[in-house]
Amino acid sequence: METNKIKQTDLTYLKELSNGSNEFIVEMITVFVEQTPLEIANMEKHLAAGDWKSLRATAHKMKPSFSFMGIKELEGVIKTIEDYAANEKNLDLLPGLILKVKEVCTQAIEELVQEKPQFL
Amino acid sequence: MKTEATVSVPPGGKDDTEVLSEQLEKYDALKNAPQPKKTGKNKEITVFLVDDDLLFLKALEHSITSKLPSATIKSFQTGEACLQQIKLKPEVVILDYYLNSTVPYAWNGLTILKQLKKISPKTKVIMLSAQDSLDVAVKCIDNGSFDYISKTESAFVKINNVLSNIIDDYNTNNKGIKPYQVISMVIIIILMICFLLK
Repeated sequence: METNKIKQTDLTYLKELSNGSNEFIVEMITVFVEQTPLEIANMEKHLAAGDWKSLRATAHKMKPSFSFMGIKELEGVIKTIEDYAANEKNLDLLPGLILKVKEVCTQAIEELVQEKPQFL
Repeated sequence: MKTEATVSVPPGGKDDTEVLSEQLEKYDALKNAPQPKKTGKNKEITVFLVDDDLLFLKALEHSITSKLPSATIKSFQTGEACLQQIKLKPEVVILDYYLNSTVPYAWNGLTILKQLKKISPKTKVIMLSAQDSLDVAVKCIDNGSFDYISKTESAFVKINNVLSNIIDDYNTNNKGIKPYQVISMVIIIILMICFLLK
């Protein structure tokens, strides 16, 4: 797909936070790569169960991780999921939004896995 | 009176008012000047970090360690785990408002804040939230939170500034009188001498 060619991650902010520590960058990438698929699976589980409170909590927790990895495209999407789940509105839009998070994160993880060796 | 002249007119030919105003200017300048970076031994504070988001926890730990290497950091993913270690009497606890995304029945930050203030009232608690809400901020401050910071990109800078101020306060309280306070006392003594001699 054409959209897959757009780079999803931007490590500028993470590098700034690192103060020159590659070890820190590697650690952050490792945690993101391990943690994000689990969080997405949790969102899908809460969506299927109609557990909007837990869905809101999971979306809320994921917000800063997209800022760290510079995934701008998802910063608004995750806020929308949190808002819809918190207020139990537009619930029919949630599956599409969660799918969007899943697709972008899958690509972001691939990019990060490729970039990680340069910091080792 | 000769005595008056010898005291109030210094060799430069300035009178009392001029000398006094110069001294007051110096005093004001010293009082308002940014404090120089301390090179001496500062108080080593213990900081507890509590957040269920491991990524944010690691970033925060790295940021504080980089800026304040003398601080001892302990990280926890639940408030309950933090409370178990509160006997270590941390000077500061940085506490996330939402703590139940991983453990559904975990206590939230506000409940932990109330417990912390009961057990260790002197510990300063800085509340964090990814939600920029005035209601949440007011609730936290009402329950004894020292500060409330939202998890934006500037959060780390703000946290480090608050921690630096806390460390400065500890050091100031331990070091006694500041230079501008000494100068103000000298000015008052000079004024008293002038008054007595007139």
